[in-house]
Amino acid sequence: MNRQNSRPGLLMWALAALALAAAVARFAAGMSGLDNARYAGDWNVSTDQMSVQTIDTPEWGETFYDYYLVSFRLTNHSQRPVDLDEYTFEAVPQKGDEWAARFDSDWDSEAAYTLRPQVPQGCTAPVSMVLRVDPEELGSSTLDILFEDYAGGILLGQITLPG
Amino acid sequence: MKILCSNCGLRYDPAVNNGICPHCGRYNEAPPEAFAPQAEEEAEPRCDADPELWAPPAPVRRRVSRAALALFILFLAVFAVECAVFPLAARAARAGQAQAAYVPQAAAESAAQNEAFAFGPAGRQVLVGQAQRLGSIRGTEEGAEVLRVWCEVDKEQDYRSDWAADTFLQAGDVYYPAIQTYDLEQFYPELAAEALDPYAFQSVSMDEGWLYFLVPEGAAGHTLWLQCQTLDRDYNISEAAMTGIDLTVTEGSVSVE
Repeated sequence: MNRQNSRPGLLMWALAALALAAAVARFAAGMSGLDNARYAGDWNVSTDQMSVQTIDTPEWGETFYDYYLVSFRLTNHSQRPVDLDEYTFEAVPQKGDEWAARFDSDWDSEAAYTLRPQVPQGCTAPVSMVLRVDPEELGSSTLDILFEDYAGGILLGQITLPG
Repeated sequence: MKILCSNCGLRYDPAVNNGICPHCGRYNEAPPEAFAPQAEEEAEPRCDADPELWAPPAPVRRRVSRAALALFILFLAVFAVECAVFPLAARAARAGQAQAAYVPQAAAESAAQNEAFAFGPAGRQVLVGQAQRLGSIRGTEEGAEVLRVWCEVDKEQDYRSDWAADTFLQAGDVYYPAIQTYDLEQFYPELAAEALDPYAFQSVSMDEGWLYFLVPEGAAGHTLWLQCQTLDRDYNISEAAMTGIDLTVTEGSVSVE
């Protein structure tokens, strides 16, 4: 009899604990979102004259993939210079595998000093990046080009791969 | 004597079935007189008033803990407030940061090589001297070469924290940052000893040295850009100004190979 009667009390304590867990989790997620918002806010970039053309497989490339040259002009209104490397930009197909297309380069892992092109603050510069595409995993020939700001990405534009 | 069942609430005679309710099967405690012979009771004339029935005490139901209820409501309210406030705060932070961190298009002006010119908000005298092509030295990426540019900066009276400086070398259309002195020290301490850190442009002491850049081999047209960054109270760049010096590059050599 007593066990039966104690159930409502236990249930309420369990609900209170659940509400506490939800509040704590929401607080953590919210602070993380705030941090991302502050960090992402530092980046302010835009592009124009975006184009794409098919190129032969580079010497350092693999024949399994298709290669394209993506070109555009990047204007940097951010607080920091923009590094022009394959990790700064992202190409996401509208359908198919998210990782079917990636920017690639002939990175020399043995060199102590490598070329580090940048776009300074308040300046505009041309950008040309080699895009590596896995045709088997690609679901759409239209890709979103994103600037990787580690907070979801900034959409720079769209390209359609030439047939 | 009949009693009320504590479970189903119906009236029954406990003497009939040892106190077990015939309606629901619940056993109820009953006073001894309830088990007395029925004769006396039946012999008495029935009156219209309802007989006083004895009912066992109802089991005490424990109420919901008030402390748990209060905590539950409190945490639920905190959760609701968080759900409402955090998206708004994130949106405001993003908008505020985007506005505060926006750097407008940099103003550009030019200066001549081997001629002193004023640079920065205080008009500090800077001279960009010879530029040398050192070629591909050990440790550099294939297809890249090192260029260095001689710079002299005059003494400044007062240190100002409201601006910063940076340097870029434009080879073709692409900008390249100066190799940091720390990076040079790793492999070429003899070059690092003569290197000029871009920070020297905003310091107060007289300084001179080489700015080192890694650029693509055979790139046409080299321009040294000195960037003056005006800082606001939060040390964000509010304006940027670029001073470009078209360089005449000569062949140079260093002792390292």
